[in-house]
Amino acid sequence: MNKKRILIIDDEPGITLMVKLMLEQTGEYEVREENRSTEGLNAAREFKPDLVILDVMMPDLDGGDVAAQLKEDRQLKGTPIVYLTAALLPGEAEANGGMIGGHPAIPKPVSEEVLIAVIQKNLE
Amino acid sequence: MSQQTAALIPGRDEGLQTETACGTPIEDRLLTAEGRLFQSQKELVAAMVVAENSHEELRQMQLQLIDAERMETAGCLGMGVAHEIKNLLAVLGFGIDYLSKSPASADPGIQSTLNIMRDSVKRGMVIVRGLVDFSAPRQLEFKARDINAVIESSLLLSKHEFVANHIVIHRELGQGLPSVELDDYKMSQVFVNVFINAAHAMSHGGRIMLRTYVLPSESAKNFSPAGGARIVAQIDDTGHGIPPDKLEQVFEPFFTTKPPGKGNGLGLSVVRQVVTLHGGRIDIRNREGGGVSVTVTLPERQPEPATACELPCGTGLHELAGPRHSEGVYHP
Ligand SMILES: Nc1ncnc2c1ncn2[C@@H]1O[C@H](COP(=O)(O)OP(=O)(O)OP(=O)(O)O)[C@@H](O)[C@H]1O
Ligand SMILES: [Mg+2]
Repeated sequence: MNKKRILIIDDEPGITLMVKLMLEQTGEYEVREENRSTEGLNAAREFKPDLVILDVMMPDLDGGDVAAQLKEDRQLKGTPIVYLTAALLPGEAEANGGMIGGHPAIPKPVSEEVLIAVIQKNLE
Repeated sequence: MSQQTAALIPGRDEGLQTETACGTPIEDRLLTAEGRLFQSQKELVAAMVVAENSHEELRQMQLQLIDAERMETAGCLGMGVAHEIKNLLAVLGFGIDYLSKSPASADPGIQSTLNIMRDSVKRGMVIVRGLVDFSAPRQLEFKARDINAVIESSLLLSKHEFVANHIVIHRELGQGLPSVELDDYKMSQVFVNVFINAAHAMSHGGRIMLRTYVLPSESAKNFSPAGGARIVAQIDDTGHGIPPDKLEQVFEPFFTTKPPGKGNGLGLSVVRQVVTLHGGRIDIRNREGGGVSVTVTLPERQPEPATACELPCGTGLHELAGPRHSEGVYHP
Protein backbone atom coordinates (compact mmCIF):
# COMPACT_ATOMS: atom_id res chain seq x y z
CA MET A 1 0.00 0.00 0.00
CA ASN A 2 1.24 3.46 -0.89
CA LYS A 3 1.92 5.68 2.08
CA LYS A 4 0.10 9.01 2.14
CA ARG A 5 2.41 11.98 2.09
CA ILE A 6 1.80 14.59 4.75
CA LEU A 7 3.57 17.94 5.02
CA ILE A 8 3.35 19.72 8.36
CA ILE A 9 4.33 23.38 8.65
CA ASP A 10 4.48 24.74 12.21
CA ASP A 11 7.02 27.05 13.81
CA GLU A 12 7.03 24.89 16.96
CA PRO A 13 9.53 22.03 16.36
CA GLY A 14 7.97 20.00 19.19
CA ILE A 15 4.67 19.92 17.29
CA THR A 16 6.11 18.92 13.94
CA LEU A 17 8.30 16.20 15.46
CA MET A 18 5.44 14.72 17.51
CA VAL A 19 3.03 14.73 14.57
CA LYS A 20 5.69 13.04 12.42
CA LEU A 21 6.38 10.35 15.06
CA MET A 22 2.69 9.71 15.70
CA LEU A 23 1.66 9.51 12.07
CA GLU A 24 4.61 7.41 10.95
CA GLN A 25 4.04 5.01 13.85
CA THR A 26 0.76 4.01 12.21
CA GLY A 27 2.73 2.83 9.16
CA GLU A 28 0.30 4.65 6.85
CA TYR A 29 2.00 7.99 6.42
CA GLU A 30 5.21 9.54 5.28
CA VAL A 31 5.64 12.90 6.99
CA ARG A 32 7.84 15.86 6.16
CA GLU A 33 8.19 18.61 8.78
CA GLU A 34 9.02 22.26 8.21
CA ASN A 35 9.31 24.97 10.84
CA ARG A 36 9.42 27.99 8.54
CA SER A 37 6.52 28.74 6.27
CA THR A 38 8.63 29.98 3.34
CA GLU A 39 10.65 26.78 3.39
CA GLY A 40 7.40 24.89 3.86
CA LEU A 41 6.17 26.29 0.53
CA ASN A 42 9.32 25.12 -1.24
CA ALA A 43 9.00 21.73 0.42
CA ALA A 44 5.41 21.50 -0.82
CA ARG A 45 6.49 22.00 -4.44
CA GLU A 46 9.14 19.33 -4.15
CA PHE A 47 7.43 16.80 -1.84
CA LYS A 48 3.97 17.01 -3.49
CA PRO A 49 2.04 16.09 -0.33
CA ASP A 50 -1.40 14.48 -0.31
CA LEU A 51 -2.34 16.81 2.56
CA VAL A 52 -0.82 19.80 4.33
CA ILE A 53 -1.15 20.46 8.07
CA LEU A 54 -0.73 24.18 8.66
CA ASP A 55 -0.16 26.28 11.74
CA VAL A 56 -1.86 29.70 11.63
CA MET A 57 0.34 32.10 13.58
CA MET A 58 3.87 31.88 12.30
CA PRO A 59 6.58 34.51 12.36
CA ASP A 60 7.34 34.76 8.64
CA LEU A 61 4.20 33.97 6.63
CA ASP A 62 1.02 33.13 8.52
CA GLY A 63 -1.01 30.03 7.70
CA GLY A 64 -3.52 32.00 5.67
CA ASP A 65 -0.76 33.35 3.41
CA VAL A 66 0.68 29.88 2.94
CA ALA A 67 -2.77 28.51 2.04
CA ALA A 68 -3.27 31.32 -0.48
CA GLN A 69 0.08 30.61 -2.14
CA LEU A 70 -0.64 26.89 -2.31
CA LYS A 71 -3.92 27.71 -4.02
CA GLU A 72 -2.07 29.80 -6.61
CA ASP A 73 0.24 26.92 -7.51
CA ARG A 74 -1.18 24.91 -10.41
CA GLN A 75 0.14 21.60 -9.12
CA LEU A 76 -0.78 22.14 -5.48
CA LYS A 77 -4.05 23.99 -5.63
CA GLY A 78 -6.14 20.84 -5.07
CA THR A 79 -4.13 19.70 -2.04
CA PRO A 80 -6.31 19.48 1.07
CA ILE A 81 -5.25 21.75 3.94
CA VAL A 82 -5.96 21.22 7.63
CA TYR A 83 -5.22 24.01 10.12
CA LEU A 84 -3.76 22.92 13.45
CA THR A 85 -3.79 26.04 15.57
CA ALA A 86 -3.62 27.42 19.09
CA ALA A 87 -5.36 30.58 17.97
CA LEU A 88 -8.92 29.27 18.11
CA LEU A 89 -11.22 30.68 20.75
CA PRO A 90 -13.40 28.18 22.60
CA GLY A 91 -16.23 27.24 20.27
CA GLU A 92 -14.90 29.29 17.36
CA ALA A 93 -14.30 26.42 14.95
CA GLU A 94 -17.52 24.68 15.98
CA ALA A 95 -19.46 27.85 15.26
CA ASN A 96 -18.20 27.68 11.66
CA GLY A 97 -18.85 23.96 11.26
CA GLY A 98 -15.24 23.18 12.14
CA MET A 99 -14.03 25.32 9.24
CA ILE A 100 -11.87 28.44 9.17
CA GLY A 101 -11.32 30.25 5.90
CA GLY A 102 -12.71 27.30 3.95
CA HIS A 103 -10.46 24.68 5.56
CA PRO A 104 -11.03 22.37 8.52
CA ALA A 105 -9.43 23.68 11.72
CA ILE A 106 -8.27 21.64 14.71
CA PRO A 107 -7.61 23.47 17.99
CA LYS A 108 -4.40 22.81 19.91
CA PRO A 109 -4.08 20.85 22.08
CA VAL A 110 -5.81 17.88 20.48
CA SER A 111 -5.58 14.13 20.94
CA GLU A 112 -3.77 11.92 18.46
CA GLU A 113 -7.05 10.14 17.82
CA VAL A 114 -8.91 13.27 16.72
CA LEU A 115 -5.97 14.50 14.66
CA ILE A 116 -5.73 11.25 12.71
CA ALA A 117 -9.49 11.10 12.23
CA VAL A 118 -9.54 14.58 10.65
CA ILE A 119 -6.58 13.76 8.42
CA GLN A 120 -8.20 10.53 7.20
CA LYS A 121 -11.46 12.29 6.48
CA ASN A 122 -9.76 14.98 4.41
CA LEU A 123 -7.69 12.51 2.42
CA GLU A 124 -10.79 10.84 1.05
CA MET B 1 -17.26 89.69 47.46
CA SER B 2 -15.63 89.63 44.07
CA GLN B 3 -17.58 90.57 41.01
CA GLN B 4 -17.37 86.99 39.78
CA THR B 5 -18.85 85.54 42.92
CA ALA B 6 -21.56 88.16 42.86
CA ALA B 7 -22.44 87.14 39.35
CA LEU B 8 -22.87 83.57 40.56
CA ILE B 9 -25.63 84.53 42.95
CA PRO B 10 -28.79 85.09 41.00
CA GLY B 11 -30.74 88.27 41.51
CA ARG B 12 -28.36 89.83 44.00
CA ASP B 13 -27.69 93.10 42.21
CA GLU B 14 -31.10 93.52 40.74
CA GLY B 15 -32.62 92.70 44.17
CA LEU B 16 -30.77 95.47 45.91
CA GLN B 17 -31.66 97.91 43.17
CA THR B 18 -35.36 97.21 43.29
CA GLU B 19 -35.41 97.60 47.04
CA THR B 20 -33.65 100.94 46.74
CA ALA B 21 -36.15 102.06 44.18
CA CYS B 22 -39.06 101.23 46.47
CA GLY B 23 -38.14 103.70 49.19
CA THR B 24 -38.73 101.31 52.17
CA PRO B 25 -36.94 102.07 55.46
CA ILE B 26 -33.23 101.34 55.33
CA GLU B 27 -33.33 98.63 58.09
CA ASP B 28 -36.01 96.70 56.25
CA ARG B 29 -34.06 96.93 53.06
CA LEU B 30 -30.92 95.73 54.85
CA LEU B 31 -32.81 92.87 56.44
CA THR B 32 -34.26 91.79 53.11
CA ALA B 33 -30.85 92.07 51.50
CA GLU B 34 -29.34 89.99 54.26
CA GLY B 35 -32.03 87.38 53.84
CA ARG B 36 -31.28 87.20 50.15
CA LEU B 37 -27.59 87.02 50.81
CA PHE B 38 -28.18 84.12 53.19
CA GLN B 39 -30.36 82.40 50.60
CA SER B 40 -27.72 82.93 47.92
CA GLN B 41 -25.03 81.56 50.18
CA LYS B 42 -27.08 78.45 50.70
CA GLU B 43 -27.50 78.12 46.93
CA LEU B 44 -23.79 78.56 46.47
CA VAL B 45 -23.02 75.82 48.98
CA ALA B 46 -25.52 73.54 47.26
CA ALA B 47 -23.94 74.32 43.89
CA MET B 48 -20.54 73.51 45.31
CA VAL B 49 -21.75 70.16 46.61
CA VAL B 50 -23.13 69.35 43.14
CA ALA B 51 -19.84 70.41 41.57
CA GLU B 52 -17.92 68.28 44.05
CA ASN B 53 -20.14 65.28 43.32
CA SER B 54 -19.64 65.61 39.59
CA HIS B 55 -15.96 66.00 40.19
CA GLU B 56 -15.92 62.78 42.19
CA GLU B 57 -17.96 61.07 39.48
CA LEU B 58 -15.50 62.28 36.85
CA ARG B 59 -12.62 61.01 38.94
CA GLN B 60 -14.28 57.61 39.27
CA MET B 61 -14.80 57.45 35.53
CA GLN B 62 -11.20 58.40 34.92
CA LEU B 63 -10.06 55.67 37.27
CA GLN B 64 -12.27 53.21 35.41
CA LEU B 65 -10.78 54.33 32.11
CA ILE B 66 -7.24 53.87 33.37
CA ASP B 67 -8.28 50.47 34.64
CA ALA B 68 -9.86 49.57 31.32
CA GLU B 69 -6.65 50.47 29.56
CA ARG B 70 -4.59 48.38 31.93
CA MET B 71 -6.98 45.50 31.35
CA GLU B 72 -6.64 45.97 27.62
CA THR B 73 -2.88 45.54 27.85
CA ALA B 74 -3.31 42.57 30.17
CA GLY B 75 -5.80 41.17 27.65
CA CYS B 76 -3.36 41.31 24.75
CA LEU B 77 -0.69 39.80 26.92
CA GLY B 78 -3.12 37.09 27.98
CA MET B 79 -3.91 36.10 24.40
CA GLY B 80 -0.22 35.84 23.60
CA VAL B 81 0.53 33.77 26.69
CA ALA B 82 -2.48 31.51 26.04
CA HIS B 83 -1.30 30.88 22.49
CA GLU B 84 2.18 29.89 23.61
CA ILE B 85 0.95 27.66 26.40
CA LYS B 86 -1.56 25.91 24.16
CA ASN B 87 1.28 25.04 21.79
CA LEU B 88 3.34 23.59 24.63
CA LEU B 89 0.36 21.67 25.99
CA ALA B 90 -0.22 20.29 22.50
CA VAL B 91 3.36 19.01 22.35
CA LEU B 92 3.00 17.42 25.80
CA GLY B 93 -0.40 15.93 24.90
CA PHE B 94 0.93 14.41 21.68
CA GLY B 95 3.95 13.11 23.58
CA ILE B 96 1.73 11.41 26.16
CA ASP B 97 -0.44 9.84 23.43
CA TYR B 98 2.67 8.61 21.65
CA LEU B 99 4.30 7.14 24.75
CA SER B 100 1.05 5.45 25.77
CA LYS B 101 1.39 3.27 22.67
CA SER B 102 4.89 2.13 23.50
CA PRO B 103 5.25 -1.37 25.02
CA ALA B 104 6.95 0.20 28.04
CA SER B 105 3.65 1.83 29.01
CA ALA B 106 2.42 -1.55 30.24
CA ASP B 107 4.54 -0.96 33.35
CA PRO B 108 2.21 0.28 36.15
CA GLY B 109 4.63 2.99 37.24
CA ILE B 110 4.87 4.38 33.72
CA GLN B 111 1.12 4.08 33.29
CA SER B 112 0.37 6.18 36.37
CA THR B 113 3.06 8.66 35.38
CA LEU B 114 1.39 9.09 31.99
CA ASN B 115 -2.00 9.49 33.67
CA ILE B 116 -0.72 12.20 35.99
CA MET B 117 0.82 13.99 33.03
CA ARG B 118 -2.44 13.74 31.08
CA ASP B 119 -4.31 15.22 34.07
CA SER B 120 -1.85 18.07 34.32
CA VAL B 121 -2.30 18.89 30.64
CA LYS B 122 -6.05 18.98 31.20
CA ARG B 123 -5.63 21.31 34.18
CA GLY B 124 -3.33 23.49 32.15
CA MET B 125 -6.06 23.78 29.56
CA VAL B 126 -8.62 24.82 32.19
CA ILE B 127 -6.30 27.65 33.23
CA VAL B 128 -5.71 28.68 29.64
CA ARG B 129 -9.43 28.69 28.98
CA GLY B 130 -9.92 31.04 31.91
CA LEU B 131 -7.18 33.27 30.57
CA VAL B 132 -8.69 33.29 27.09
CA ASP B 133 -12.13 34.06 28.51
CA PHE B 134 -10.60 37.04 30.20
CA SER B 135 -8.50 38.21 27.27
CA ALA B 136 -10.31 37.19 24.11
CA PRO B 137 -11.74 39.74 21.75
CA ARG B 138 -15.44 39.12 21.74
CA GLN B 139 -18.30 40.86 20.14
CA LEU B 140 -20.88 41.75 22.72
CA GLU B 141 -24.39 41.25 21.47
CA PHE B 142 -26.74 43.49 23.33
CA LYS B 143 -30.39 42.50 23.48
CA ALA B 144 -33.13 43.75 25.76
CA ARG B 145 -33.48 41.11 28.48
CA ASP B 146 -35.24 40.51 31.75
CA ILE B 147 -32.47 40.62 34.35
CA ASN B 148 -34.40 38.21 36.58
CA ALA B 149 -34.44 35.64 33.79
CA VAL B 150 -30.68 35.97 33.32
CA ILE B 151 -30.24 35.41 37.05
CA GLU B 152 -32.50 32.35 37.02
CA SER B 153 -30.60 30.71 34.17
CA SER B 154 -27.28 31.48 35.90
CA LEU B 155 -28.63 29.86 39.08
CA LEU B 156 -29.37 26.72 37.08
CA LEU B 157 -25.83 26.69 35.71
CA SER B 158 -24.39 26.96 39.24
CA LYS B 159 -26.76 24.42 40.78
CA HIS B 160 -24.19 21.69 41.35
CA GLU B 161 -22.12 24.08 43.50
CA PHE B 162 -25.15 24.96 45.63
CA VAL B 163 -26.10 21.32 46.14
CA ALA B 164 -22.52 20.32 46.98
CA ASN B 165 -22.20 23.11 49.56
CA HIS B 166 -25.75 22.97 51.02
CA ILE B 167 -26.66 26.46 49.98
CA VAL B 168 -30.14 27.90 50.12
CA ILE B 169 -31.24 30.62 47.71
CA HIS B 170 -33.52 33.47 48.78
CA ARG B 171 -35.04 35.62 46.09
CA GLU B 172 -36.36 39.14 46.34
CA LEU B 173 -36.49 39.83 42.64
CA GLY B 174 -38.15 43.09 41.64
CA GLN B 175 -41.32 42.75 39.62
CA GLY B 176 -41.97 44.77 36.46
CA LEU B 177 -38.36 45.93 36.16
CA PRO B 178 -37.44 47.55 32.85
CA SER B 179 -35.59 45.17 30.56
CA VAL B 180 -31.84 45.70 30.30
CA GLU B 181 -29.77 45.77 27.11
CA LEU B 182 -27.15 43.13 27.75
CA ASP B 183 -25.18 40.24 26.32
CA ASP B 184 -26.96 37.19 27.64
CA TYR B 185 -24.03 34.82 27.51
CA LYS B 186 -21.51 37.20 29.04
CA MET B 187 -23.86 38.40 31.74
CA SER B 188 -24.66 34.87 32.87
CA GLN B 189 -20.92 34.32 33.06
CA VAL B 190 -20.86 37.28 35.46
CA PHE B 191 -23.54 35.86 37.73
CA VAL B 192 -22.20 32.30 37.61
CA ASN B 193 -18.76 33.56 38.70
CA VAL B 194 -20.24 35.55 41.56
CA PHE B 195 -22.46 32.62 42.63
CA ILE B 196 -19.57 30.18 42.60
CA ASN B 197 -17.42 32.55 44.64
CA ALA B 198 -20.23 32.78 47.18
CA ALA B 199 -20.60 28.99 47.23
CA HIS B 200 -16.87 28.53 47.76
CA ALA B 201 -17.03 30.92 50.73
CA MET B 202 -19.76 28.78 52.32
CA SER B 203 -18.37 25.26 52.20
CA HIS B 204 -20.31 24.39 55.38
CA GLY B 205 -23.60 25.66 54.04
CA GLY B 206 -25.20 29.07 53.99
CA ARG B 207 -27.54 31.41 52.18
CA ILE B 208 -27.44 33.51 49.05
CA MET B 209 -29.86 36.43 49.03
CA LEU B 210 -30.70 37.83 45.62
CA ARG B 211 -32.29 41.22 45.06
CA THR B 212 -33.00 43.13 41.90
CA TYR B 213 -34.30 46.68 41.83
CA VAL B 214 -34.18 49.99 40.02
CA LEU B 215 -31.62 52.38 41.49
CA PRO B 216 -33.35 55.35 43.13
CA SER B 217 -32.84 58.26 40.76
CA GLU B 218 -31.33 60.67 43.31
CA SER B 219 -28.38 58.37 43.86
CA ALA B 220 -24.99 59.79 42.86
CA LYS B 221 -24.23 56.58 40.99
CA ASN B 222 -27.22 57.15 38.79
CA PHE B 223 -25.27 58.31 35.82
CA SER B 224 -26.24 56.82 32.50
CA PRO B 225 -24.99 58.33 29.24
CA ALA B 226 -27.67 56.70 27.13
CA GLY B 227 -30.47 57.73 29.46
CA GLY B 228 -32.91 55.35 31.08
CA ALA B 229 -32.82 53.79 34.50
CA ARG B 230 -30.07 51.88 36.25
CA ILE B 231 -30.89 48.38 37.38
CA VAL B 232 -29.15 46.72 40.29
CA ALA B 233 -28.60 43.04 40.97
CA GLN B 234 -27.43 42.47 44.52
CA ILE B 235 -25.95 39.16 45.60
CA ASP B 236 -25.40 38.71 49.33
CA ASP B 237 -23.91 35.65 50.96
CA THR B 238 -23.34 34.41 54.51
CA GLY B 239 -19.82 33.14 53.85
CA HIS B 240 -16.48 33.92 55.50
CA GLY B 241 -16.17 37.32 53.84
CA ILE B 242 -13.03 38.97 52.51
CA PRO B 243 -10.22 40.24 54.77
CA PRO B 244 -10.44 44.08 54.58
CA ASP B 245 -6.84 44.38 53.36
CA LYS B 246 -7.65 42.06 50.44
CA LEU B 247 -10.81 43.84 49.27
CA GLU B 248 -8.84 46.06 46.90
CA GLN B 249 -7.19 43.10 45.23
CA VAL B 250 -10.06 40.79 44.44
CA PHE B 251 -10.59 42.22 40.93
CA GLU B 252 -6.95 41.80 39.97
CA PRO B 253 -6.19 39.04 37.48
CA PHE B 254 -4.74 35.96 39.20
CA PHE B 255 -5.51 37.17 42.72
CA THR B 256 -6.86 34.12 44.52
CA THR B 257 -6.94 32.70 48.03
CA LYS B 258 -8.01 29.30 46.75
CA PRO B 259 -5.83 26.19 46.50
CA PRO B 260 -4.53 25.20 43.05
CA GLY B 261 -7.21 23.46 41.05
CA LYS B 262 -10.02 25.32 42.83
CA GLY B 263 -9.45 28.84 41.55
CA ASN B 264 -7.27 30.78 39.14
CA GLY B 265 -8.14 34.25 40.36
CA LEU B 266 -9.61 35.24 37.02
CA GLY B 267 -13.30 35.06 37.88
CA LEU B 268 -13.79 38.58 39.18
CA SER B 269 -11.44 40.12 36.59
CA VAL B 270 -13.64 38.72 33.86
CA VAL B 271 -16.73 39.79 35.76
CA ARG B 272 -15.58 43.37 36.08
CA GLN B 273 -14.47 43.53 32.48
CA VAL B 274 -17.86 42.36 31.24
CA VAL B 275 -19.76 44.72 33.52
CA THR B 276 -17.57 47.65 32.42
CA LEU B 277 -18.19 46.78 28.77
CA HIS B 278 -21.88 47.08 29.57
CA GLY B 279 -21.30 50.58 30.91
CA GLY B 280 -22.08 49.30 34.38
CA ARG B 281 -20.23 49.01 37.64
CA ILE B 282 -19.59 46.31 40.19
CA ASP B 283 -19.01 46.83 43.89
CA ILE B 284 -18.00 44.29 46.47
CA ARG B 285 -18.00 44.78 50.22
CA ASN B 286 -18.23 42.86 53.45
CA ARG B 287 -21.65 42.79 55.08
CA GLU B 288 -22.03 43.87 58.66
CA GLY B 289 -23.46 40.53 59.75
CA GLY B 290 -20.71 38.62 57.93
CA GLY B 291 -20.43 37.48 54.36
CA VAL B 292 -20.04 39.45 51.18
CA SER B 293 -22.37 41.69 49.22
CA VAL B 294 -21.84 42.14 45.49
CA THR B 295 -23.82 44.74 43.55
CA VAL B 296 -23.89 44.85 39.79
CA THR B 297 -25.37 48.08 38.46
CA LEU B 298 -26.33 48.15 34.79
CA PRO B 299 -27.71 50.88 32.57
CA GLU B 300 -31.07 50.08 31.04
CA ARG B 301 -29.85 51.09 27.59
CA GLN B 302 -26.58 50.96 25.71
CA PRO B 303 -25.37 54.06 23.88
CA GLU B 304 -25.93 54.00 20.10
CA PRO B 305 -24.95 51.96 18.20
CA ALA B 306 -26.29 49.46 20.66
CA THR B 307 -25.35 46.41 18.64
CA ALA B 308 -21.75 45.51 19.23
CA CYS B 309 -18.55 46.53 20.86
CA GLU B 310 -15.29 44.72 20.55
CA LEU B 311 -12.31 44.20 22.73
CA PRO B 312 -8.98 44.92 21.10
CA CYS B 313 -6.27 42.44 20.24
CA GLY B 314 -7.19 39.89 17.58
CA THR B 315 -6.26 36.24 17.30
CA GLY B 316 -5.50 36.69 13.62
CA LEU B 317 -7.95 33.97 12.70
CA HIS B 318 -10.58 36.29 11.27
CA GLU B 319 -7.92 37.18 8.73
CA LEU B 320 -8.22 33.72 7.24
CA ALA B 321 -11.85 34.18 6.40
CA GLY B 322 -11.47 37.28 4.26
CA PRO B 323 -8.69 38.81 2.17
CA ARG B 324 -5.41 38.31 3.94
CA HIS B 325 -2.89 40.74 5.22
CA SER B 326 -0.70 40.11 8.19
CA GLU B 327 -1.48 43.26 10.18
CA GLY B 328 -3.20 42.55 13.44
CA VAL B 329 -1.90 39.01 13.51
CA TYR B 330 -0.09 38.07 16.64
CA HIS B 331 3.51 37.12 16.02
CA PRO B 332 5.37 35.61 18.92
N1 LIG C 1 -18.26 35.89 48.00
C1 LIG C 1 -16.99 35.84 48.41
N2 LIG C 1 -16.70 35.55 49.70
C2 LIG C 1 -15.41 35.49 50.14
N3 LIG C 1 -14.33 35.72 49.35
C3 LIG C 1 -14.55 36.02 48.06
C4 LIG C 1 -15.88 36.10 47.51
N4 LIG C 1 -15.77 36.42 46.20
C5 LIG C 1 -14.44 36.53 45.94
N5 LIG C 1 -13.71 36.28 47.05
C6 LIG C 1 -12.23 36.33 47.15
O1 LIG C 1 -11.71 36.94 45.98
C7 LIG C 1 -10.75 36.09 45.36
C8 LIG C 1 -10.77 36.31 43.86
O2 LIG C 1 -11.97 35.87 43.29
P1 LIG C 1 -12.01 35.45 41.77
O3 LIG C 1 -13.38 35.02 41.46
O4 LIG C 1 -11.42 36.55 40.96
O5 LIG C 1 -10.99 34.25 41.68
P2 LIG C 1 -11.14 32.77 42.29
O6 LIG C 1 -12.57 32.52 42.66
O7 LIG C 1 -10.12 32.62 43.36
O8 LIG C 1 -10.74 31.87 41.04
P3 LIG C 1 -11.62 31.62 39.70
O9 LIG C 1 -12.81 32.50 39.78
O10 LIG C 1 -10.69 32.00 38.60
O11 LIG C 1 -11.94 30.18 39.73
C9 LIG C 1 -11.13 34.69 45.81
O12 LIG C 1 -10.04 33.81 45.78
C10 LIG C 1 -11.62 34.95 47.24
O13 LIG C 1 -10.53 35.05 48.12
MG1 LIG D 1 -14.16 32.96 41.29
